[in-house]
Amino acid sequence: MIQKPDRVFTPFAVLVLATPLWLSFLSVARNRLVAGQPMALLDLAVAAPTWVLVSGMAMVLVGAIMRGSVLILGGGLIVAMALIWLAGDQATVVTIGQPSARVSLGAAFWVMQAAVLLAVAEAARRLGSWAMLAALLGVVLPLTFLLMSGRLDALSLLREYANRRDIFGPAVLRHLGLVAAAMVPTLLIGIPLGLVCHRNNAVARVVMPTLGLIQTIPSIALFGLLMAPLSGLSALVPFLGRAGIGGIGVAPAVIALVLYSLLPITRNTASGLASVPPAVREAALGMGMDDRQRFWRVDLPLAFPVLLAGIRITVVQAIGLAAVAALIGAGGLGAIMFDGLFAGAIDLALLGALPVIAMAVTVDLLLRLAAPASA
Amino acid sequence: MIDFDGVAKAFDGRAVVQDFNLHVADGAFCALIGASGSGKSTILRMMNRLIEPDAGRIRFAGQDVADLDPTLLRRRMGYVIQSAGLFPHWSVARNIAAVPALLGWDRARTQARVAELMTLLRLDPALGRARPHELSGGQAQRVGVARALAADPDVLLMDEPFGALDPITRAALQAELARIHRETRKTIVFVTHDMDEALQLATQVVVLEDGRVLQDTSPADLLAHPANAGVGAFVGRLDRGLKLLSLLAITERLEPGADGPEVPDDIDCRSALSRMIELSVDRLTVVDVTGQVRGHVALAGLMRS
Repeated sequence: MIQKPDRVFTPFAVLVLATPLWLSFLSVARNRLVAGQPMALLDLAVAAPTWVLVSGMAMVLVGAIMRGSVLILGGGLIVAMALIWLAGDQATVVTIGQPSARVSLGAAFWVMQAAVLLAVAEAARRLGSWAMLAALLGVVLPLTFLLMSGRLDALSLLREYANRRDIFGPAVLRHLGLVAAAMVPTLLIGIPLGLVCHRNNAVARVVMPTLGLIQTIPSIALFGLLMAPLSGLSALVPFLGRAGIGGIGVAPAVIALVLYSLLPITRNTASGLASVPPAVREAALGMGMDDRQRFWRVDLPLAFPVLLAGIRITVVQAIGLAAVAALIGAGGLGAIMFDGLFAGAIDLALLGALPVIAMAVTVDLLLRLAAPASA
Repeated sequence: MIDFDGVAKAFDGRAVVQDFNLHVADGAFCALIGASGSGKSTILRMMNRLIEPDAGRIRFAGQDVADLDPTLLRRRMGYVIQSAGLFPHWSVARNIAAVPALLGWDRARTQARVAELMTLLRLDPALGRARPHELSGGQAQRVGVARALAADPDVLLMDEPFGALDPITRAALQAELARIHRETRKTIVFVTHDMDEALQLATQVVVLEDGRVLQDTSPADLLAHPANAGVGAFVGRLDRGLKLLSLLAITERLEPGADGPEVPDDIDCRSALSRMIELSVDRLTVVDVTGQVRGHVALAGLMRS
């Protein structure tokens, strides 16, 4: 029996096949400052990765027609890696004898990469949690290998990395540190606050709109709002200033991240607790569980999936917001990103932005996998 | 076992229970029956202090419940609610073992008790590892009753436990509960709005209206002598005679000698009458499980009240 082609995968497959026909795959410039000339995928002069790319595309196409999620997953990962490999090899060829030439990734690369990874994500979602983990490893391991092998070193993105090698690692650590430093107070305040909101409607009616209001303040404005009181505070109490708390830097960044993070944690704690069926609550009470036993044995385990979803949303949001915190001197990957944006060096901006995206996607996936299978 | 003395309770200024007195004897099966809003659930929930009375005294095994720690009191009283209220994140076995776990029983004793209760409630031992969402409504309520009985409580409080079940499952669980009451002689307080259920199971029926007792007596006396028109309406005017017959075992109207078609000796007189009508006879031979003739019943004998 002939099935109709899959409605989700077919557009992705068409996008992957058609994009290189009308968008440039790479952009080649004589040096970092001048505008690049487009180079189409069909003009590339490297053989080996092309065959890998073609076979991966064939798998995706067949998978879309046959509705085979495994084929899509495998083919999609092959296409994703072949595109990177292809770009790296071509960059190596172009830059031979032209050390100042810059090879950047073009629109077709990004569109194809996005389409194919979205298809992989959807296929993995359909196949279950083991496939999600496999997809994550299927991106991380070959990419690590390609990066370590030096095949990608000629790409402009990696040239920017080579120039900033000494600040890249600390920036990643600082970024993670900002998120971690914000998550500890967020959980310590947000979970009890959610508990209080759940038990006391009057409190919830004040707390929830307040936290919602904070969410509507643009992040740069919130950083700005915190500058005045914090610098005033550190002037008033010199000890705080010496401890690093001031109008700019890490302190306002962490405070702002906590303020943004409180809403999803508090709201999900409260709604998780509210999702415990009244009959279960009544049974626990009637059985003779005291308040603490009810909380630890019944309420918390039953609210946990919703709470964990709140933590996931919060961490992913904080990873993104921490990039903006670079504007008030908090450092992190945002600093590299804004350097690139202000200098008009798109590859430098990407050097800051891509790890932020990778971190957010990885954390999201790992926390999804950590969630207990819903009963 | 349980005594209410002048108990009253109002919610938002509306009296739900007024000047309520009740004595439930040790080993009794007491059914609290009334329409919605008659205060029957409130009375039950005052026994294990889920609700505190505004006035009056409630004694449990001679002690004022107000002097007892509510959580410790509740562990001495099994509690079954309509929707079972099983813990969805725990296995059936762990649900049954909930109160023993609170009481700190050791593993071996708990496991033995869970196995014993699953047998008593006729639950397949393989269900021990199942999660509540895998159970049918009847199975879930069996687990609910097993959980309430787990720590061998002094009384069993049941709030419309079979209200959400289909008629066949309900009848099976009613028979189960009657058997458990016979075997364990536990004091049971049972809230229902189903008069047939109350008459069939209880030894003491308390009819409630607007938080007051209309009548508090045995099922047979309730049918024979309803205290007023309100109770009469509740027990049903036209089929009261049949309900009375249903309380009577066939062996109580036995006359010597075999006469007519055979029926088993464990049915009630209402079923015997039904059988007579079905077969167009006025006499039935009563035999025991081995086929031995125990005597016969006659239509005239059934009529004699």
